[in-house]
Amino acid sequence: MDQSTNNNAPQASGEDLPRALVRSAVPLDETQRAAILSLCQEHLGACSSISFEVDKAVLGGVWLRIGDTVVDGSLAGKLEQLAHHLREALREALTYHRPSLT
Amino acid sequence: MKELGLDLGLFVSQAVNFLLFALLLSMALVKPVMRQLEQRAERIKKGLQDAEEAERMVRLAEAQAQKLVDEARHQAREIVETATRSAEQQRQEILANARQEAYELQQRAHEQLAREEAELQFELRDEMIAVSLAAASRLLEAELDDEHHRRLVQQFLDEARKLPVERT
Repeated sequence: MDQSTNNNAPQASGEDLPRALVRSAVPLDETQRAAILSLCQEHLGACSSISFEVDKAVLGGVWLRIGDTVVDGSLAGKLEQLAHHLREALREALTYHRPSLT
Repeated sequence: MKELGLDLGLFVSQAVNFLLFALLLSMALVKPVMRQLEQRAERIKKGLQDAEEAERMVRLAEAQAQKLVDEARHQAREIVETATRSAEQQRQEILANARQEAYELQQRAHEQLAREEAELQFELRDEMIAVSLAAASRLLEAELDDEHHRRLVQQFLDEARKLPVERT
């Protein structure tokens, strides 16, 4: 699962809590929404509100952003990570056999 | 003397006359002639000496001329050899430079070709990865059912709870 944070962003005060955005490939039921809300409040910091969006591009799983923090648990994100690792591995393999090309 | 028919007085006078005549002849004629002969011999001798000297001078001049010709030939040969060596050296240098330039051009061409080939391979693999990614996305989109989605959401929740806690 990929988690990234913009550390240069100003920290939110108690009265100015960040908004949370959740994207999933299919609509989430109430239980799932409650679990995600609980996750945000207990693990990722409080949020002023939370929005749920359906986005087919997510493919599966959940993509969540709260403030400047992104937690990517989507299948699209995993595929993108896999593609990134593949590209890096292929580039390293090619440059290993041809060091003069680097 | 008389028995022999000779008159002594006449004989003596004749002898004295002969001696006087010989003396006069010697003084008037022989000596100048001898002097002329000596002078002529001297001239001839000097002429011979001059001829020998001239011949010697001619031989010396011929030797000097031959020496000059030999030196000139030697110098000409050296000039030709030097020019030949210089030309050969220049030819070798030009050939070496040409070979080096050709080698460097070939190396650069090979490197450029290898770079382009590698770039093409990178691009081809990127394209293959992109196509595979798109195919996998379509396949997942078609194959995933509600149960899969539910499990994926639950997996997300389980993993997210393991992340470091952030408090604002």
